[in-house]
Amino acid sequence: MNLGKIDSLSLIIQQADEHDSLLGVMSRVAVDTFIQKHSLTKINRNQLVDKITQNIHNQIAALIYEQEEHIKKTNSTLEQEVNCSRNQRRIEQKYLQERIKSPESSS
Amino acid sequence: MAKDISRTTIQPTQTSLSEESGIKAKAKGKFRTKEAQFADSRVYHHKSAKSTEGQRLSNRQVTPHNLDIIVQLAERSEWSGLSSAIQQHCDSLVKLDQTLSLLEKHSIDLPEDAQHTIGNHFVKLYVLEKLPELTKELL
Repeated sequence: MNLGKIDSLSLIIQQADEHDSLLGVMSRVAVDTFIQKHSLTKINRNQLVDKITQNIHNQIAALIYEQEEHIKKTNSTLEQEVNCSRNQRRIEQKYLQERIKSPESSS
Repeated sequence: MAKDISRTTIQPTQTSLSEESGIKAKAKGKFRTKEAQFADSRVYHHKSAKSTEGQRLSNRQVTPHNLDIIVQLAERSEWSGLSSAIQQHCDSLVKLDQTLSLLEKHSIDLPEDAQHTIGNHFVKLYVLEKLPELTKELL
């Protein structure tokens, strides 16, 4: 794992709450297709989208964290950069959690 | 190739069938008929099937037995049991898709609770299948 791959992983989950983010688009298409195909009209579509987005975001963030720990050990000059990107991801994760908890979550 | 397979896998029974139906039908007719019967049994008797083809088919689909259970639960309106059965037997998006399509064919109208459970199960399966695809080249 190198910095380039960590950046690529970060891009996948970047601004996951945004309407046109990679994760957002992917989740919406998947959920809409599923609901329409099987006529599951009573499902909270927005909540499912948010759950998928949050789940994938959390798991990829965990992968990035592990790799960053390894990089910090081998290159201490990158510590500040790593901490900045972690803070950004924490803010995004917290926001995604709030969206799922809110009674009328919308994507 | 096809004839070679018939000689190696079906030979014992094929001999007796050819005796019953006559010489003309012995090669072509017997081969096709027997192959069709054998293919059917391989799909449904996956545990006892000697060929791996049947096992691969059963791995890709919910077994007919489990599908029957799910349909029966739905027809008896046992929604809690139905949700549990779906979670247990549908461990892939393909299987979930197959099961829900079957319920639609039986005109089963799922209540809200069951739909919520199915939705959560879809989320779990989707993440399980999608995450490796997303990170494939990066790990």
